[in-house]
Amino acid sequence: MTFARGVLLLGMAVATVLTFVLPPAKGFREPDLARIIFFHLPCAFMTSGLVFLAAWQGIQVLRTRSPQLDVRHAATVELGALFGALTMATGILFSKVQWGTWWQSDPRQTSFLMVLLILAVGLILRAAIGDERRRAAVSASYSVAALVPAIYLIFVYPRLPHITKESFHPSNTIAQGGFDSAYRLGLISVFAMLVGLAVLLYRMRVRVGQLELQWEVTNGNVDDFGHGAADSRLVRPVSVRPERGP
Amino acid sequence: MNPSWAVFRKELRTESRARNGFFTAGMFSVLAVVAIGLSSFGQRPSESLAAGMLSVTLLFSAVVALPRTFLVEEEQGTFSLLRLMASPEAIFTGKALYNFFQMMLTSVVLGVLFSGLVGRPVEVAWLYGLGLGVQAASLSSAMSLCSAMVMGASNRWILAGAMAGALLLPQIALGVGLFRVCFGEGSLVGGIQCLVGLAGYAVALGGLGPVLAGAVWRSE
Amino acid sequence: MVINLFGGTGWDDPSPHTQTQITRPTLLTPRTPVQPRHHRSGHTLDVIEAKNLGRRFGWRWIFRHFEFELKAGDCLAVLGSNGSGKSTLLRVLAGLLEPSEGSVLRSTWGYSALDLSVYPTLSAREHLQFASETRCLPDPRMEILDEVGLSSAQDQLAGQYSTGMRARLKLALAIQSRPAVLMLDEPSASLDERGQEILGRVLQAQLETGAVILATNDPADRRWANLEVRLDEP
Repeated sequence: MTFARGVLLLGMAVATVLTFVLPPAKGFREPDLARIIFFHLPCAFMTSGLVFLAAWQGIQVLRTRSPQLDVRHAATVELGALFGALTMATGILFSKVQWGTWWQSDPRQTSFLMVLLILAVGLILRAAIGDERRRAAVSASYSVAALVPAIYLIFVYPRLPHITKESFHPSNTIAQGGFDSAYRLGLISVFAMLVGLAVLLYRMRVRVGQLELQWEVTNGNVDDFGHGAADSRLVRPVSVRPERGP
Repeated sequence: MNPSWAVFRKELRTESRARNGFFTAGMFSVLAVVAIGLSSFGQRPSESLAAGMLSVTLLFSAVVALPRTFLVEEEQGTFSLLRLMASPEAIFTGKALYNFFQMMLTSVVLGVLFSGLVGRPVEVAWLYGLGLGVQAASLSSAMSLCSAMVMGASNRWILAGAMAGALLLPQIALGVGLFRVCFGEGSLVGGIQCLVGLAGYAVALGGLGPVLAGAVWRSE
Repeated sequence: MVINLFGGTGWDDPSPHTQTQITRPTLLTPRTPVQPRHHRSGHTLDVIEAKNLGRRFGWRWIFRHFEFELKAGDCLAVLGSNGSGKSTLLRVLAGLLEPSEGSVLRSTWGYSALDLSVYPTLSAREHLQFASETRCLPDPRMEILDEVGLSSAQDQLAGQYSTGMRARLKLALAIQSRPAVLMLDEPSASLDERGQEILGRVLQAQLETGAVILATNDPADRRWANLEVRLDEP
């Protein structure tokens, strides 16, 4: 584990340096500051991937009702919101340096804000429901249901003809070969680094959740309220009267 | 008789006696449209603006009125009785059907008032009518799902609104795309695409609804 | 044996009650796996069985390792002080709460509780009609309203009923489908003398064909029980 963390740290350092030494992109108002794409785009990919993973884990939680799976699902939802926020923040910075304003009301910017709101409501739901069984079920159901608007907002809406026409935001840049090979290398490196970072954070968050579960189980077995873990419920016969009842 | 249909009839019967939902949604719709008419007095809002106002008014009418069908069961303590009588799937389907019925009525009232008071005539009437119907289906399926999921939470009204707001965001976009065509802007093909999108949304959430509501209710 | 959480099929016609001294197994008793049983003349059937049942809220266990089985004619009294988990146990047995561990195997059942509410804008007749439609019963059995003494108020809205009348309506709904096991939480809490008589008749009739589980501390209710369990006792 320590070795893996060391490799990840080294990879992060290399990838970060790479994003600064690569030649600046052409066709931008501030080519040097366009390097923010190296972080913005992988963060957006991570967010999309985590939305799908959360929905998949949501189905598993509903199917098995396993608290351990709920811990994993919670970790994914939190990471999704984190990467969503990073995508938004880097997007806003990009908007300022390249298009002149912090917020463009650009359809793509707005649609991703909607995705971020969907992820934020997922966090609010988890915080608002006290009972852990209900929280797990509601949160899992929400992740499954949220996939419908998320797919629309991430994949359909940005590609609608009138949106691609009106939006400042480039679309399908990678698919159309809009980045040269050096830029693609930078993007892939940062993406790989972010995947590694996400895995590390995920494992740490799951570990914390499992320790919390373990703590609850341990405390649940302590007879704190007079009937904490009493397990000697005796169903005993009593004498049946000749005539029952009053 | 199908249990879902029985639940639908029960909703209709209790609502016809209490009339809270209809009054809430109806009054909200009328007030919203009159307020929009007042604020745009003497002006003619653009097609996109009119479409946006109509979509948002429909959305908030749904958010105000539809959760009640589910949340009132929890508030008056009858949900356990209902659970003892019918399966979660039947309960959800019956209540979602009732919400659709209520939202259809609200949409018709709102649609007619809006076209009359806001000063933006409807250019494609058939698409407008169809759009209101599909929007009602889409809103009612999403609102039913959100309300069903948060029934047991203490702050259920706020949570239902927050969840619905998030899940219904694409519907605003689709609704605006649809109604602006109805008001004469954009291509008919674009409007039909939005209509199909809304219908798909209604089907997806309507199909997921009974399954997810059942899973949540059984987890108590 | 079928786990059926939402009413419907099961053993609709349990065998007649046979008056026997029943010594029921206690918890953690090794038992052979439960096999599906069918009605045989003179055969006493299990109508409900709890296996290693437990329920917790948060990390606090309300009850745990709870095991029993009831046959037609059995009446189990669940006793315990306030907050000991009697109602929770009944809600778990009725399928309104999911057990945190273990399982409940049961035939058809009816449930009534103090905290169960009826629809204030429906009459007693409409309640029974609605319940028969959702439960797909061929007959709404309106005559039950006679049995529980509500026939004269059957078209009155339940919101105008007294607490005792509402309790009798809930009792009517609980026995409408002729359940194999009837679960009643504090059944006589809001009943007057006449209501107690009605409850007595209902319990008598139920014990002839099925089983009863009562969550109660009322000595009058306890007299029906041939089995009992205390939940606040370690």
